Amino acid sequence: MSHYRLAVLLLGSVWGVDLVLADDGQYPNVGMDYDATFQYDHVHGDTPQGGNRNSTDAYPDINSTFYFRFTHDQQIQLSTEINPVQGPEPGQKRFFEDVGLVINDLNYYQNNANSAFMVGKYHVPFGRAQDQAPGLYTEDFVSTYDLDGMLGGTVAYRFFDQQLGMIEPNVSLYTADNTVLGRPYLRHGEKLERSDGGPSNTGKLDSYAVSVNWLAIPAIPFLEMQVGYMANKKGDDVVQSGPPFGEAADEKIKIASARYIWAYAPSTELEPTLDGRYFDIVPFIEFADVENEDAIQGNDTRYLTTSLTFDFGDWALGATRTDKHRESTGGADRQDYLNELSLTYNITGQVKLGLSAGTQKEDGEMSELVGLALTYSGGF
Amino acid sequence: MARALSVCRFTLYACLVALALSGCTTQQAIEPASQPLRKNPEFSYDASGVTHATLTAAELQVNVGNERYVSLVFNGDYDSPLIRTRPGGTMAIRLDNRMDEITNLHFHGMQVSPLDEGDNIFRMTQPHQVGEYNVKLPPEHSPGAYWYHSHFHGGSQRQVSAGIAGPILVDGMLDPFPELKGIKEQVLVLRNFQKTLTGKVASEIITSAPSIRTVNGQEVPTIDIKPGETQLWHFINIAANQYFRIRINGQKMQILSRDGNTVTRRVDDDQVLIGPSARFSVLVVGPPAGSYDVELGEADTGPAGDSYPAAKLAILRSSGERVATRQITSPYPPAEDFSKQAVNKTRQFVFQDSDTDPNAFLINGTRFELDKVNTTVKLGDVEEWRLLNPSQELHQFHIHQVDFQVTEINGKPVEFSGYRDNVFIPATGSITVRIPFRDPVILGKFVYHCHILEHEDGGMMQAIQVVKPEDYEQAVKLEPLGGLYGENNQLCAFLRNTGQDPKTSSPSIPLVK
Repeated sequence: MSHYRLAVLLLGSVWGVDLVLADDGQYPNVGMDYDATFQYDHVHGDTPQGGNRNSTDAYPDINSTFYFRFTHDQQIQLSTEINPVQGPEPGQKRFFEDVGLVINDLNYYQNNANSAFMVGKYHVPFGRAQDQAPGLYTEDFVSTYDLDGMLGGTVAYRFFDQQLGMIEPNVSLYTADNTVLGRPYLRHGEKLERSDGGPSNTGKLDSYAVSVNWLAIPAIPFLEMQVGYMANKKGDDVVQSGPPFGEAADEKIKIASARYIWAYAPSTELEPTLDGRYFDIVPFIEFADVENEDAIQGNDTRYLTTSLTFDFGDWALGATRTDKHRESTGGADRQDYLNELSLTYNITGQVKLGLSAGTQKEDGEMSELVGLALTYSGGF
Repeated sequence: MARALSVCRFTLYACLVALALSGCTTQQAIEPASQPLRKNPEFSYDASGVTHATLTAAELQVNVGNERYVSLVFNGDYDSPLIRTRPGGTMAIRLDNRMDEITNLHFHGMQVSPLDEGDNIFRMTQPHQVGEYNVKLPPEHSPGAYWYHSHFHGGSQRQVSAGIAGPILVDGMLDPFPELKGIKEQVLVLRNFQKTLTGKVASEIITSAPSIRTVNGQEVPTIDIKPGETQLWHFINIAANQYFRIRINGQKMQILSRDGNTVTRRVDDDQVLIGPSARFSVLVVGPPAGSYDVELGEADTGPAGDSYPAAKLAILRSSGERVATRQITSPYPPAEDFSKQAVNKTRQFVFQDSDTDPNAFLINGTRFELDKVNTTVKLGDVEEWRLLNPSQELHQFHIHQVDFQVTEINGKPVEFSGYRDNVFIPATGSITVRIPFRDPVILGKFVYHCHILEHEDGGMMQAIQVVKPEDYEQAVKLEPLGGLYGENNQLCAFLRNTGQDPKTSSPSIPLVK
């Protein structure tokens, strides 16, 4: 590396944009991707307590990822997110409040010809509903198995066969983050402590997830499938256990999903595609069986997410339903759900508008949700 | 107080978002909006058919349309030189790399040797070094529009976007049509330059970002024509990632050639869809006196792809006395229809976005490896390749050194009208092509890839070696080691790997200096 390049790189790291070199094919280099969303949520709660149960929340959600690339295939990435760390209380009206910064990723990532490897603080690749179901709220609803900001690593390998297509298994080993990277910045808030208990909160790399993606099967090329198993060790330093919290127990999750893309063939010709007339319908289904959710003995739940997306040029119309069924040891079983209807429009290639409306039942409380999100994405 | 603080914060965020949304510079215009179309600077061939050219690549401040940007360009101009050659000619190119980065050259679409100092993308020219290219065209090389560009894996998208690319014209396209002799030819080099706030070429290319679309480096130039006059326009798309969908308001165009291959029958259309790397040569007839917009339609490459807005690309200005329109009366040159032939081998390739990494793009589940060969083909074979795209965005297939025939789109037959060297693969669809690996000039190692260069840099590329049938088994054995022609794709490596003595054999052609 030339002295000039090293100097630019170091200065760029300190002084920012003007000196940043992104992925120009010359290494090492640094770069940045970002997206900035303005989101407005309106929730109308319907509870037996009555009172003002309308809550509103207008807030930013700014994601930035900084890359320090050693080679074309090896990099350190740091992802931060600026948004409200906690949701509003029922009846609360907020406007850019409780906004803080959290670190979602700080890891080393290597992507080879057939394999990929990641170690550090990262998102555990498990489940697809959080990414594939259209709308604004499914991600939160299935957060039980959408694990962000864990410490550990993942190894993935891609096998390809002319008859079977691509089979991509990955193995993750991780633990919850109790370090300084796990606390929010620019606002009050505490990092997760070992004494808080919960899944994977053991301070040891003793939770794991295995999943297999099966894609691009030549006979059915537009079908995508995933199966997976996750085992999250119970926190072993829990102060709050026993009733009403329940005994601590290891959380175990089995998951299976399928997604299919059916495109109207004439719309996939070059002219209609470029003209914004490409049309497809994408059904998606995911089932997750959770044993001891939140590492609480007997807190067994089942999630079923079904969705249908219609893509037409710059528009996407989606309908999603997620059912969460909790088995009760004593009384009646409990059924929570999220229904969501969403519409997305790509205003330009970089600016996207999302609208979402739905109903939700969570912990016995009914609510109606309306959300709007305006997102700009870019890079340096 | 907390509320006031929130409002301040909101204002700050709003300013940041507004700044980001503007996403473009408002640099001072330095040229009027519409000027006559410039003729490209040109290197042409001498009496012996050799085109000598020095391409000096450097980072400089140049005019990009009506704005000033620091970019990577050839010979001090965003409008790169046209290299003119002819069938049987030679391009003796000196690549003087004065940039602080590695680069190289690919001679896109040309059926020339991929070995040694030919169209060898496995050779690199280091910063502040000089690379020599000696590209000999066979006498039967198809005339038409081609181009040269950086093929430096990992950096090709940025370098091509910046300006490390330019047009090539192989003379002789009108020879089969003496009735068109003497008509005016216009080379229209289509480009897209991403606007930035820094006044420098973007280091992270965002295809959907606000950009400057140029023809020969100019924004909305005027192209003059007389009413009734027939002109031959060569549209050459040298943008890194963009599709150009071009219409001349109310006018038909007669397509004469695609990707340097003359069509086999009359093809008329009111628009041309020019994918990344594609070239269309069209006959345009001057309309009644007046101005007509040459329009670029908006484009959307699929739900997982890019979108960019419509724009006015140029103005066609028709004026003066009406002249007689020239029309094709001669028969079109025939070409072999491979769909009627038996193929020697059928292969399938899946061009796919990675589901786990947005910057990774795969062919048959793998990313490109520089030191490995993925496909070995016997010289003389005609192969059928089925190209599948399970992604929700377009890919653009291109193979070096050979042309091919598109026989099916989404399983439906396509009527034959000539060859291509690149073609779209429908989002969530398929395309089938037949490729004749017949010309001995292509012996060597080269690549096929998606010509959306973002995807190519992300790994959507594989290496192929074409070998004589007697060398096939040995070549397959050497696939994991870079193939029969070695990592750098050289004749001496081939001789070594086939047990011949490079010193005694020495059949290489001397360099034209």
